Amino acid sequence: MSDLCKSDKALLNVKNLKVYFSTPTGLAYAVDGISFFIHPGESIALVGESGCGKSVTAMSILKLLTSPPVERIEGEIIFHEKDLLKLSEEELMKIRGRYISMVFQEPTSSMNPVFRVGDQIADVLKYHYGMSREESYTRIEKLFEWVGIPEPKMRIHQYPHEFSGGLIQRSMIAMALACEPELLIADEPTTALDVTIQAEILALLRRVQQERKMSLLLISHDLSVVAQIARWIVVLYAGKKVEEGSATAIYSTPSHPYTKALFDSLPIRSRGRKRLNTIPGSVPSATAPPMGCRFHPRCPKAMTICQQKEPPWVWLNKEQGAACWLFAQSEKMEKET
Amino acid sequence: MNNHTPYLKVDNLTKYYPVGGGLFAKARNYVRAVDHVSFNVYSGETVSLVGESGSGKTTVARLILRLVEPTDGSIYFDGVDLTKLNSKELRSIRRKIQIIFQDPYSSLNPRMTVYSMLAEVLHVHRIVPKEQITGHIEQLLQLVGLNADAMYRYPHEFSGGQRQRIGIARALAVNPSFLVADEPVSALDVSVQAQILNLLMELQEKLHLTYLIISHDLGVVRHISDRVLVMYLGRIVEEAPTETLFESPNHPYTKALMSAIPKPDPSASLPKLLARGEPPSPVNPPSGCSFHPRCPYATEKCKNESPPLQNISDTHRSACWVFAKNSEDKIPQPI
Repeated sequence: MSDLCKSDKALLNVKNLKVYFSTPTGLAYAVDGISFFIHPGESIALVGESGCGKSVTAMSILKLLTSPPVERIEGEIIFHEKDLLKLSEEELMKIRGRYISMVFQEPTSSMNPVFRVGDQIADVLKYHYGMSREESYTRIEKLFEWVGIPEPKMRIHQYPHEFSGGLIQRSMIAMALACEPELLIADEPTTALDVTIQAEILALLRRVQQERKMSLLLISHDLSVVAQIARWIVVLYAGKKVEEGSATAIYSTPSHPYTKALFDSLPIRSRGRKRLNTIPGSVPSATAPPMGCRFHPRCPKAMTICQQKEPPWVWLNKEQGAACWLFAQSEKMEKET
Repeated sequence: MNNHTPYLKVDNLTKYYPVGGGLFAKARNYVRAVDHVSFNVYSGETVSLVGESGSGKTTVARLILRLVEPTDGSIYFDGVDLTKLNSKELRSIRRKIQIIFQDPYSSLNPRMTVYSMLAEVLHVHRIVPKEQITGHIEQLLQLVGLNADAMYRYPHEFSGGQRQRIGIARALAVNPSFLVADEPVSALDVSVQAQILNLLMELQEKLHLTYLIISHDLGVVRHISDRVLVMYLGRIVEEAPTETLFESPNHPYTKALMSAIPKPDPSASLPKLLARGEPPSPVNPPSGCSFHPRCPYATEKCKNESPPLQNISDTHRSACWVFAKNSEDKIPQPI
């Protein structure tokens, strides 16, 4: 098995993560036993549709979820031999922004509108490095230049509303990179942006990730965006991991019926006004997920066993694995323990 | 393309929004949301209007429905100028033109059941007699792929895709012939998006509908439309049949858009960036061609004179001093 499948050298190791929310209609199984890991310098992506648990997973890494609505978080998130889920708030504060930082989907609502952009970034530098304002301004100027914000000297003293959507996302990235984190989590970083701006932000993320040898966890619903950046893909469906593998393997030979169907429904892959392949039905409710495999009510290849028992994890080869009964019958069956 | 008279003819349509003025103060400036836009839509075709945020595409949609009043210009629908109609005449025309909105979560009244929502439409427009309303609603729901029992439920009981189906059923309730769809699938997941696109194409065939689709998603546009109009800062910069536009775009802005589309392929190189920076503010659009500050091909002429939309072929128009050249025109010297 290749290095990418081994967890012993991982920077971040998420083991059997479960996040349950309490809702008026009962317990919602938002994330239900998801495991994956990220190596130093690796870029990976969590992909899935709304409600698959990708954002909840990202938020629980930095423990940004509040209780309520969170009822229970189980499992382990190991970072530098420490379980992030067991750390106190003070210990987490030392990690957030310093070792792991995050870029959010809505750049305009993630900055505080009443403080200057430069000062908000300076706060991060003061907290982690004890830097003075003057020192931090020089550093922020360099950061702004690096992420492609023109006229950094002037921009530092401006307020978030004076920035356009693309520029504010660049300054969010500058803030996230201020302390040179080991892991950057980007949750739908380009979803709110226009396509030409999206292309620039994707190029920027890829550049900084490669220049700094930083690990990147990208959260996205957009398979085309993911293909630009991530080298390893984890596909989620209804709170479960259904498939993971190298980007080349997943994009050329998707194996899980859900991953296949997702690719088939992309309009960009077809030409002319042909009927698009669709996945019948819709994503199941998180409060009452189906028995067995959660995809079975929508799966074209569903068998009787799919309705009764949860499918085991099977590594198909060095670069690709899936949770599906279709593969469990083969003799190469290797269960994940 | 059809050569007969256009079903919808938009002529010099303009909408300026005043900014900076107060209750008694005069407006200090105007946002040129839609700036002298002209285009035709022929019966039975699907035309898409694409552009980035702030390009004015949604305003065009709303102007056609007269949900906002134009500053200038006319909209001829089936020969009638919509901008000259009074509210009573407008109501009968609105039976022919309907709109589907982007966000299925906010465009349905949360306190009304599907039945009361659709019954209201049928009643106001006197589509069917009272006793036939229930039967008619059943047919409508079936048409958009929902079960009849959906009619007694409230919007919150449906998923995003089902809500968009209800929005479509509401639009179809009055038997329209022209449907304006403002970002009909952009709030939906990929798998559900495909279902709704298929439904729209099926309905078009079944009911002989004409579509004007507003979208920023070029993949969706390429799949569904016959012709595409590209808007930039309130103006149409290029118009062409879908395949022509995607295979050989003429305007540098269209080229920039095409080059920025990410491909679902990890071995593909990153999109080339043909346009730098961000769209300028429509309050103070640049002089000349409004794309010139971002355009890699801009010449001196582009900075001073606004390029007209010129024919490249019978079906292809582009507004660019450099690329859309008539043979008589002198070639501008690049700087």
